Amino acid sequence: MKRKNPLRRILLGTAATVAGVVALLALKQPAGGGQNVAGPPAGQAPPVAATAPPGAAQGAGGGQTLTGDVVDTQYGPVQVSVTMSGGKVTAAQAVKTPNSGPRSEQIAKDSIPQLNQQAVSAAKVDTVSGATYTSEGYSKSLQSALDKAGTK
Amino acid sequence: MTSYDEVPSYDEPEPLRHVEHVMGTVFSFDLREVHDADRPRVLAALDGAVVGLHRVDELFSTYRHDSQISRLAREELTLSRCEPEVRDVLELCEEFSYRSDGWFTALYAGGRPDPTGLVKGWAVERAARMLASAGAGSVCVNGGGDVQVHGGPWRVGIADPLRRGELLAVVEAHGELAVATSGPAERGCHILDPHTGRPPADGLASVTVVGTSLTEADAWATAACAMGAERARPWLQRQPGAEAFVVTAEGTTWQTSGFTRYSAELCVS
Repeated sequence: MKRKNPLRRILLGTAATVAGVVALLALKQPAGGGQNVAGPPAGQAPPVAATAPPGAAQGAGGGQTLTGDVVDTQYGPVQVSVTMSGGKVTAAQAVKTPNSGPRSEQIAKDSIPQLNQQAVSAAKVDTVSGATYTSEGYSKSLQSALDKAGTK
Repeated sequence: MTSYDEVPSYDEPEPLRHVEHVMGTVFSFDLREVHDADRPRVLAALDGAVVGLHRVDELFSTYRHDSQISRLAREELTLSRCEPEVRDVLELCEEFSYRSDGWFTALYAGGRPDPTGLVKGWAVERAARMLASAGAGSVCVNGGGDVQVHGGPWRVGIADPLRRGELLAVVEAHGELAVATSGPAERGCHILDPHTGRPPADGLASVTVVGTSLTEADAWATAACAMGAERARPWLQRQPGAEAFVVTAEGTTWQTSGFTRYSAELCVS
């Protein structure tokens, strides 16, 4: 059955962290190429909805592979799967894209850092160790975010 | 009918948090399990720790013309007339230099003393110990990315040096534990091979060392960075009481065999 409203099905549940990560996957418009499709304004990429983990499968490397629902975007139907291992997204793959090929694979690959960003917020750390920051570098650091949350 | 839905509330004492900008970076204090009776003593110790950090800056900063380290370098001051802390730290520098076969060094260009690579870890370790002995059950002091904890459990994330805002691993700390990270991610290539005076050819993106003392963990992380990838790996593996997590310039990671003892799942639900 074809689904018409992907936005309604975006999971924001607290327990469904993994599914939530998949849900937050944003598609980037392929750069270059012959096709000239008008893209959405920056920062408003179409989200891909995902189902909760009942369909989660054990991947080859011990990681968990999650496959999202097929979602109709303005580019056509899209389906993405991600592999999670130790709380990190280790791979993202476009299962179904309007134009399959190396460019679509690149889109999926480019989304990995964004997916990991979401995973980090679920890591629940008390503090962060990293190379010594300057006072200025601190303001952009995770430690600064943790301090703000703690002293509110 | 009586409802038992409500979870009984504990008298969980309010955590104490403090952020201090000093020594060109930022120190974050997170004190938990501070019971009401101990609170005045812990607050006084926190004040003392903050004053202590500013004093360390005044004594050791190479950016301050009138610091004892600057005056030592200009030979306006002899070691015997320095404050005891300065002598202690310079002695520690010598010890770590010896124990690392010269890879950790507190001698900068022209043989002038520069304990910058050691003094921050030493100051954080001292501050954390002061707070723990004042009665804080759980202490976490983070000095610009180098962490000393007591009590806990604490979850210490290890930053991804190649992707700002992301974590690569989590260390779970119980009791007295230090986590120090060195690398060029924040301030560029400032760690040089003491034998050539240049950055190592096979430089690492970051070295994290876990041990009980932050002074030592910080010195070992710096030494390993100066060594470069090929030398650092067997050397780190040989250090007793220290475990390491390393990120190469290419973004691959490796760890010493005992590191798993500390590593926790990155994601908790």
